[in-house]
Amino acid sequence: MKTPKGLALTNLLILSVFLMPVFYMVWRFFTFSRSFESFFQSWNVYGMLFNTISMFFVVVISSVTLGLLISIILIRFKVKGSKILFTLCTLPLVIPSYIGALTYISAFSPKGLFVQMFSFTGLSEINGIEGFIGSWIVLTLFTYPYVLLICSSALRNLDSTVEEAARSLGVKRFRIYTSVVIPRLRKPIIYSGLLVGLYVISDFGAVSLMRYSTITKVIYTYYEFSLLGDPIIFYSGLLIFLALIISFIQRGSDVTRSAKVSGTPRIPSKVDLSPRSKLLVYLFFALVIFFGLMLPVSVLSYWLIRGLSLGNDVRAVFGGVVGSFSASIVTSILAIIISMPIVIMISQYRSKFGDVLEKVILALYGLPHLAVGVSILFITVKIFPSIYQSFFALVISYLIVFLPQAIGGGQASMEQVKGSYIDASSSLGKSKIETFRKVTFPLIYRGLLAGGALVFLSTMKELPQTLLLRPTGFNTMAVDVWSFASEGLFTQAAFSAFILLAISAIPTYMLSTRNLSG
Amino acid sequence: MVFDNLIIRARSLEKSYGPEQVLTDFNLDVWKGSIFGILGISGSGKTTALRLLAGFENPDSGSIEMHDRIVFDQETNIPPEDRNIGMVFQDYALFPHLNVEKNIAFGLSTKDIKNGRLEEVLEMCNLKKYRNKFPQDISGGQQQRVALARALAPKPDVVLLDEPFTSLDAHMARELRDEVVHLLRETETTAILVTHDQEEALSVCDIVSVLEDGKVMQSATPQEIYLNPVSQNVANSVGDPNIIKGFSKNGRVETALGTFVSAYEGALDVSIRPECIELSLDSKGAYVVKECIFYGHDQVVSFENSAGQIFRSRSLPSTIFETGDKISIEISEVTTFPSNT
Repeated sequence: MKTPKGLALTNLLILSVFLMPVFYMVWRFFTFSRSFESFFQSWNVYGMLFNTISMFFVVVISSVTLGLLISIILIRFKVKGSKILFTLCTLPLVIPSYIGALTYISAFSPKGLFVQMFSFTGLSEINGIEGFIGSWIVLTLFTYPYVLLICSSALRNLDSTVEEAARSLGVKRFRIYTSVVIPRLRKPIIYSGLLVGLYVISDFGAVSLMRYSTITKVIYTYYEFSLLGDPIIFYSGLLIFLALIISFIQRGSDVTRSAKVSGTPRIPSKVDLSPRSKLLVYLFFALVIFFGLMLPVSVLSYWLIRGLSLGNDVRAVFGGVVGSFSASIVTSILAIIISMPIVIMISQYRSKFGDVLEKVILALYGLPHLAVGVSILFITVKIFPSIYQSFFALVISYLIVFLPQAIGGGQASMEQVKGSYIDASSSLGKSKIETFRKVTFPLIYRGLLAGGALVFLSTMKELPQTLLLRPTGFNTMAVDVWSFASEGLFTQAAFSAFILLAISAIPTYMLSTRNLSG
Repeated sequence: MVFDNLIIRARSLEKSYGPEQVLTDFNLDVWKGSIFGILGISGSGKTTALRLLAGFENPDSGSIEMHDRIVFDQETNIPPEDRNIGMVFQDYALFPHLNVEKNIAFGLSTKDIKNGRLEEVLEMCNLKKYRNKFPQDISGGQQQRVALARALAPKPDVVLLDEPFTSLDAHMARELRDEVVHLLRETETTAILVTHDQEEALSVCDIVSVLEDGKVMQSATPQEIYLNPVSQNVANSVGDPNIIKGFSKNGRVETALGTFVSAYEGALDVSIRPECIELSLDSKGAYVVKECIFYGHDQVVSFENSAGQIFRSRSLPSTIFETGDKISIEISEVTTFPSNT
């Protein structure tokens, strides 16, 4: 069918707004007044690149190792309570990195909680956890659940015939994993590993609180001290470049979109563990759950209670709560509305433009929020000063990075609306509008709402864009957590962090487990 | 059967998708109360023809009249919702968010429901006990019934059935087919049935149009189509005839199976239906049995001549033939067509 003109025009308009930050970046990148070499000479570009890329590698390796190990133990071995262990091990994904970092800094600073707790042993000071080690630990603990979710679902669907064939050829049980199982999980491992990697290079919250200089941190430092265009643009461009490479490779091994194997896979029976290895396994899980879940939650609770008993003014967080809610509600409603014409175009009309639209939107999904924020910031300063530091500009910036989530929700449900439903409805005498109201809408509204909910939660937790673009006097809970934590005001930070977690934890958990384990 | 007036008349419909012409000079006349069949293999344009009649797609040119009013021509294009048609889709297209009852009531007004039309249709289609179930929770056969009930409920002028039995297993399909035909006849509903199944088209329809490459090859009663196909292609699509090449001179054509009379001169295709060849065991026969497949109600015997050409015969399973038996043949009926090569 031919795409209606109005629909095509609407989408063209949306597309051009969405591509604006990218085009602006490209334009600025090619109109620097200085040469590229001079950037490398005058700033520590190599050092920043090294810091960012080394963090990328260590976190990806440790997250994949941890996630894969847990998947194999829980799915292939007999472990009592494996369901509850699985849930507990995936739960850390609801904790945003800056809240995780806040708990670790406050617990393990030189004279922090840990030292206070063990002061009776004569301990008076430790080397605090921060910088490289601190970022590594925090980023690993709060990203490995992505690997766990994706790899465990792939492992569950892995047919065991090949393994049986390998056994019959004389391969020992343990070697099966290195020679057959893990190689066959190559795609989900790469996919989830790079998902973690994308998260790492885009992360601002954890590295900034841990005082570890990566590209994101240096961008913010330049922003804070002076709104110097060149270095900010240069580093943002570098960041986008890295992200595009990663998401390009990642797309090649996308497992969540590929079709499921037909038929029920043959699942091997779970293997018994010896009493000694059982003990080791439970010890391992105790450690993972302690550091990933119990420690952050109890540290946060400690600061919360302490803050309340000290009589901190609860009203101080109200502004953040109101700001978070208003931004999230407006963004999610707009995301649902704007995603509609795109979803209809992609799913109902096969056209070149629709394909391009889909590809561009997918490509934009991996963009680091900070870089998009920077671009919008400069566009508003230089081109549209009337909306500089406006709520409107902030929402546009949110929409650019979160719209794909709304589109995903709409698209998934639109696939249920077969063309023949529409024909059936009109053959039964219903007009186009009636058909939409009685057939299409009832079938898609749940998907739209789910997509909208995802946008709502993401907006609520968003940090770097908000820091750059928020109007004067506008606060969100995320901003409160981060700014109190960076000043060492942990009792205040804990308050906003707790509300944020209380609101977002359960829905985030439900939506991500559903989306990632397919 | 007496049909009093025409309910659909389509003239010179043309349709192409880009460079691909899918329907050429398509004409059709459907009489009130009749079941009209469109028979063709996939890609022959039969579903497109149906979609044009329904109004889901527009012809490039031509005209469609329904019930004495023009629904499509150069000036007019009445949308599907105003054509008063009912449609049964190949995948049934039952709305997954509505239960059986609501699916059937979809095309009914509140007044219709108050007047008892919903109950009437539920009763008629034997669906009362499924009324609260959802489409996904009932069997394929029941889904098919619901689809028909939904299409019939608003009392359409004509019901269009797009390969309605293909997603069912053979036994179920035959049973439902009888039921559907019975229902259509009883309610005197006009129907157009699109199908690739020759047996279905021949046994169910009053008139059959054989469609090939977007062109109507022949449009006639099932008997006429089967007994007097106008071309070898039509013969092929309604039966499984032996086709033999021959050359006709002075009204006589010599073939590997004997000499026949022909109305045409020159290169010919001679079509002989398997049931028109009678076999008898004959130790001096010129043909040898290759294979005998037993179907219960009949059997199909493949045999070859001395040149190694293979032919098929269908007969009652009264005589037992075995591979290698010598036989003689007797042919009761042949059809000849000018050769199309």
